[in-house]
Amino acid sequence: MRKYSRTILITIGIFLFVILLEYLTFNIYRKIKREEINISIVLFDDGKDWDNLKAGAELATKNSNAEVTLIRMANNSSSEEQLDTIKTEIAGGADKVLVAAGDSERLGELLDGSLRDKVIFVASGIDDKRYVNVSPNNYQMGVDLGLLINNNEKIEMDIAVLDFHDKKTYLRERREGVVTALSSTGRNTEIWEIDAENNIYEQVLKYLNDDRNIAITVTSEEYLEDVMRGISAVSKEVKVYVIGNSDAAVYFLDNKQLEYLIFPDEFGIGYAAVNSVINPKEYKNKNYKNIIRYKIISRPDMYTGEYEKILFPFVK
Amino acid sequence: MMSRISVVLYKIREAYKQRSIQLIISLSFTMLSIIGMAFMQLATFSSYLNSSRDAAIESNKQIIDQVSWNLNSYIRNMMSISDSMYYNVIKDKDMTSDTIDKEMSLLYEANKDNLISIACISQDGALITAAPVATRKANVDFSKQEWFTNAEDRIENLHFSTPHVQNMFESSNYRYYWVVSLSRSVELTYLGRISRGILLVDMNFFAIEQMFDKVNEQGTGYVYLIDRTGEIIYHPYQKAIYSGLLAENNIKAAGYDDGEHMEKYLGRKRAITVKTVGYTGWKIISVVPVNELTVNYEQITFITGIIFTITIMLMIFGNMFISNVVTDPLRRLEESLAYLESGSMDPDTIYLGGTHEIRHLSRTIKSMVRQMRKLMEEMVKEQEEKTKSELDALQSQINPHFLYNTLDSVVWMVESERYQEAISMVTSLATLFRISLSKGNNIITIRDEIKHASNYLSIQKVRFKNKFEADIDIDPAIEDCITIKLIIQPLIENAIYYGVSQIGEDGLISIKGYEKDGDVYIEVADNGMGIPEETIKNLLTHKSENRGKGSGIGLWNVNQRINLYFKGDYGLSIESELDEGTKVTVHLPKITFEEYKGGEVK
Repeated sequence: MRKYSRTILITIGIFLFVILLEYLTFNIYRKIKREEINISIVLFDDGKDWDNLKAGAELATKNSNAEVTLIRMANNSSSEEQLDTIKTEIAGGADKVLVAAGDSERLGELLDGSLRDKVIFVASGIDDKRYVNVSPNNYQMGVDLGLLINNNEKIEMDIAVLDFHDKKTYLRERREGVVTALSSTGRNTEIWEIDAENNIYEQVLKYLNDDRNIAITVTSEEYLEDVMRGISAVSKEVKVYVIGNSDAAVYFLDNKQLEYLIFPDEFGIGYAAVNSVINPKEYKNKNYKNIIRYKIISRPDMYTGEYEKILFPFVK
Repeated sequence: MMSRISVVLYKIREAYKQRSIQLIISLSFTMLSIIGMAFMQLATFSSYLNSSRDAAIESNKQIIDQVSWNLNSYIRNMMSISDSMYYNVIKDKDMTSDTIDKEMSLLYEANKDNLISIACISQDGALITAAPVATRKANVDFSKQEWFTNAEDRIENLHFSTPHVQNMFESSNYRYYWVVSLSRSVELTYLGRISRGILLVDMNFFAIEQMFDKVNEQGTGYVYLIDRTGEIIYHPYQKAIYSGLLAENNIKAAGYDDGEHMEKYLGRKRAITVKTVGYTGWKIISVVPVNELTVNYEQITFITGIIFTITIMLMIFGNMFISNVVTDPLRRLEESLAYLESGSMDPDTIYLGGTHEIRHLSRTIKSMVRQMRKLMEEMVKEQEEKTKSELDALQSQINPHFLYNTLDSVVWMVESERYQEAISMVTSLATLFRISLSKGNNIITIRDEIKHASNYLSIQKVRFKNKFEADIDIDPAIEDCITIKLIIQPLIENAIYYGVSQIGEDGLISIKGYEKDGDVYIEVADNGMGIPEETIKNLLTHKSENRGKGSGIGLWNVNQRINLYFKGDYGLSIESELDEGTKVTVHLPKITFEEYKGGEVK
């Protein structure tokens, strides 16, 4: 009898355990499914609206329980200020913070171990394996622009690279890439130093105050409108090559004021970065480096099916 | 790892070998129940899933029908704008003298929520008029744009383009519009002469997007729109698809007929519903991943799992109970039979209970046991009687020659007037026979047995004319112990005939009784010629032939009687040395006559 009682007790125990296990699994599954993931995106206000990145991020959250919050900091925010914002967001319940860092190297150094896993670098990349980095290769972007100029322009054509003394890592990398590619051919490459604090229009006019034809490279779209205003004011031929994805850059390309536009796929960056939080497995499986890219677009190509959908993503 | 598995498999095999009926019944019923339940649950679950799926597909179909109706209305509205502009305005005007600006503007204003622009273009691509008024982009050739060439190629039709960014007019504030162009070839009258032109109505794609966005906010899955070649017009993940981050099966979907389809795309099974939009040939595609078709899929799976587990548990307990009811009488019967194995032949210990068949079996076994017991008792009785008769037969083997010789000696004594000796001898003989009879008892005290031996010695000493001496030394402590009668006398007889009678005047027979290690020992020793070793070996194991001397009761005979009665290690042992003598020792258990009378000797 005792033997039977023991068997019955063990059997009841096993079944209760199975039911409990099922219940817990179900509840944990539901909790995970229901649990909201808060993602903050810390951006700097450089004049463009970051709509592409935001749209990509929001699309990635579709059909998920993730919530995206956009924080725009002043354009000249220091890394320390960005760090404070990151800390505030995490303290406020953010599970991950996507940050378009001004000086990504500096910010990478400032982040301690506990924050490191919670921060993803977007747009402005970082060469540090400890961080998830969802960004195109900005240096290579610059090199490609330089090579494009080398192919398009005669060797006699002088090239001016505008240097706004950017503190932002990704802008610096782009400019360095351009200069490296141009210098490799031995053509005359000038660095036009422009003080962004003063009247850019006048400084551009001053540089253009001679008879020679020149090609200008702008790697910082933040000051593009002022530069284009200056170029429009002179009567000589000035060819302009730009890296950027602002509405203004697209407009200038459409109006044939630009020769070429290198257009970073900010939408893909936003989508991939959020996806790395929501579906880390899928993010690891997909080779996003091949997807997060940039397009080299000329005026005649911009209304073709391939580029049209990238340049004009928003129906208005 | 492999060795562990082997051990587990071995244990399972061993357990299987030791299986009981109850285990077999429990396991079999449980397995059958689980299989049955699993099938039932699967069927129910599958049926539920199918009905949920059908309901979800039906719901999606209704949504698609609604979208299709809305889209058709929208397109018809655009077509009616185009028709109004063409048939009510352009056809009635001579473009040389009349303008169509006012009518076009009115029409635009009335529909500007859904329109981006209306324009009339000449056959060579010149802008005749447009509403709202806008500056034409420099260096943009309208005649090379798709909407223009399509209208030119097939002048009788209305042409709907795929969504594209309008590339006609200067934009202010960097604004660009995604439009779907409705173009048609129109006849323009100039001074009564007809020339061709193109009427373009650019519909705001935002209206179509809004229409689909609303649909995609409700229900499961998503709805997208493609043209007849499969190119995407609207897709909720449009930009991600263009960026190469996601993929859609739109090209294949273009080949689907209207209705429901199932497809597997990128490893996911999806239910597809297709509806073609009139006039345009566009297709509305509804996509629902199969695992999203069922509402509360996880909850239903969980509840089904719980019900399944509880049912299985109840079934296992039910099976255990039923199998116990069925097999318990068998088990108890089997346990009661175990008593029989241990030697008990008590039929009352056999279990009687359970079902009719088991009770019948129990009764049959009981009957068999009773018969067996009776047979065994009869066998034991027969054996005992046989033993007794054998014992009696052995005891009765007293040589008549001894009686004859003794009586002859008595006659001889009477004739020679030795009356006192004759009386003594006859008295001894009488005592000898009285003890031999012992009221029919086989068991007597050692005292009586020694007395019997002493009488026998007295007779023999007379017969052998005192050629030997006899010495009897019995420990008084053993005199009241029991012995089988007539076991010492044959030993003395052998000592006389084969020992001292053959050595002349100095023969000595010594009888000694003592206790050792809780047993009784009686030694009969002589100083005769001794017995060869090879003869000793056979004396106790083989029935020796009567050599015509003595009582005829040999050593084998005595040994057998002791063995038969006392069993165990009791009996005779012989020690002999040639020319020195022989000593025969009787080994008996120490049992007093009182103890013997108190119970059976076992």
